[in-house]
Amino acid sequence: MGPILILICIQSKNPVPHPLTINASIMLPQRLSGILMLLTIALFFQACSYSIIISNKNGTPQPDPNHHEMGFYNLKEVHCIDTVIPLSILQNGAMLVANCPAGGFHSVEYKITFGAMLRNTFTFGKRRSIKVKYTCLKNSN
Amino acid sequence: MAKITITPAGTWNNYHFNGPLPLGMLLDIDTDRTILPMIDRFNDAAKEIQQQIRTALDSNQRLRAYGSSWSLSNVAHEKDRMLFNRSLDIKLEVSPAQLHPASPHKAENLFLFQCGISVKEISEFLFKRKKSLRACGASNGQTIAGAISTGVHGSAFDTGSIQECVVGLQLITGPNPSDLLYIERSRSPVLNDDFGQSIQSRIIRNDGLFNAALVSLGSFGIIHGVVLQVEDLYLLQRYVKKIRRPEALQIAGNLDFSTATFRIMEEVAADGSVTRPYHYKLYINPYNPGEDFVTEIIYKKPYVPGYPDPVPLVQKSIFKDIPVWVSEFAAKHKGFIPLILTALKTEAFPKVDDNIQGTLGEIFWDTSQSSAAFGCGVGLSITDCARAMAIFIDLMNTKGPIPGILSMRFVKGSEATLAFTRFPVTCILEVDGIPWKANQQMISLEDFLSAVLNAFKAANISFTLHWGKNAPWAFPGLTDTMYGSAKTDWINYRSALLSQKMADFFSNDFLRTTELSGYNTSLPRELSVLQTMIAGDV
Repeated sequence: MGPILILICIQSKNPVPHPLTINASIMLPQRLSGILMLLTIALFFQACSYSIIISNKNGTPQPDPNHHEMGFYNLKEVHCIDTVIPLSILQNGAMLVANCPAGGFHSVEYKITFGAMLRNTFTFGKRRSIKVKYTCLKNSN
Repeated sequence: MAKITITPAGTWNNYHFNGPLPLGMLLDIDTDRTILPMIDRFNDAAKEIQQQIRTALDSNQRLRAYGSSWSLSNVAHEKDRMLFNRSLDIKLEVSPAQLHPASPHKAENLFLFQCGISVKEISEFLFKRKKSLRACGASNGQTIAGAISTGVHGSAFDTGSIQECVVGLQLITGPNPSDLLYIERSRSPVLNDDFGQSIQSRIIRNDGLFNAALVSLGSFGIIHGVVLQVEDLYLLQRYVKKIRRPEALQIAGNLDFSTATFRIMEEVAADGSVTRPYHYKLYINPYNPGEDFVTEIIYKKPYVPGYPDPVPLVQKSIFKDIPVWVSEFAAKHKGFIPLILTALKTEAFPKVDDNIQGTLGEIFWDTSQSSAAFGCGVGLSITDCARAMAIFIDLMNTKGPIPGILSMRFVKGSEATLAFTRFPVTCILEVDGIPWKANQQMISLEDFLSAVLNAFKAANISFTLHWGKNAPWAFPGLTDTMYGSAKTDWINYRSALLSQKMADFFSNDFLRTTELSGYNTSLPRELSVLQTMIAGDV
């Protein structure tokens, strides 16, 4: 994380001028530095976002023959929650109630993003971003 | 009444993204959860399937049932209509009163499963009753109907594939009430007429028909119910060891562990005798000829609770998803393939000395692989396996390299007419990897596998191919080469079971490509009698 932060500081000392005012001879290096800066920032934000899947050892997920997605969720019925929950002064925790017909989750993926962390910090924990993907246990006969 | 959800699909793909293939209509069937008892719900689902057959026939279209879409070949695909049956997962116990007087089985070891139940669901259901399947594949996602129809196998060399546990099949061969059939072997009947009546089916007992229908490639009608023989719950003790090539291949050639120089000390008795394993599998890096084999050896043990949970370690040793870019890179720079495979070896092979214990359902747990993949399994006599492996590796190095690793598993021979485990003990030489796009530098998978088959034929090595995996299915005379007269037997029994119209209805591109969709209108006398009986004329 350290080297990335240093790189951002160096880049920010050389702001890219307005395109109409720059000399063509210096345009390329400056554009390159801008692209590098954007890439660095993107890399930084990417590193700040991650997700974890918790999957049930037992049980089978509810299938969905129309859900084709490379990876864990392929052919599974997937539910997504992507919302921000505002909390009142007296509330100190956020809870969402989800309904699985067979009575249980098969997997839950919780995603942490940089923006969500910033939102939580700058609102003193009163606006919570929630990004969750879950699958339910199959509704068996 | 069972519910059908219709999706005008457009295209269909399998679990491992070997498609897409065209599809007119996807029908998702679910049981009517309000119906009780469960046997009535089971029968109601059969009626709904018959209704869907009628509707498809009226539209001059074909219908094919499928479950987990696990097969890498297009055996499960039909372009007109496909019936997704994963919600058909009813499980029913057999009562002692339903046993045939000549049945050698205990009722407690017999269960009727509906077609769409997965191997994992069966294992969990049986575990609660202190029972277990006798064998399964390397993973557990296949439905029971799909698994037996394509001959899914593990490496249980004294037990066999999943289909060896099947003792009865309920087939739906058409839209009429008389098209519900329950078939068994005549020499070992299992369930009586009361059972047949309970599932509203006519009972047909015939060894040849049962063996032909066991590995039916989805073309003997729709398999709706499967009666499985199971056994008491047991544990599997898995060892992963490195064995020197000559020793590993010597064992592979005769499966005689008593005289092998390689021994697992925990499995040697005080008198020096060794326990016979349940399972033997070799992992082979084709691009490093000097490397010893990582070997998985599994022993069957009595069930004792309280063992450490094996699933976290099993999860680590399952062949992982490989990013698409690796495949694209490999196709452009094939010289790097051996290096890539060597680098990925620790991901693809189980870790040496990761020894674990668990039930069958735990040791062969979920696969995490759900990205694009290819796999080909060649069945061989164990006496030919070392020679065949040398040819295969040579071709991988001279025609390739191709991005795949090899393994060998060993399965007891099957009585099923078209089982690819048709040798007394079949060695299955497998290549699994990431698909690539052929180019001027890189041979296609189809061409590579054709070269393998040509080389086997030239070396006079008899072979079969795993029906649910990739293979050059249009290879000239393939099914004749593999099965000889058994192919004719299979077509004859199919012709005895189905009318010509329904035989065509249950045919698909895979069947036509493999030249198995033929129909015999002049059957031998014995089969003619069977045909008349099935048609309900006597």
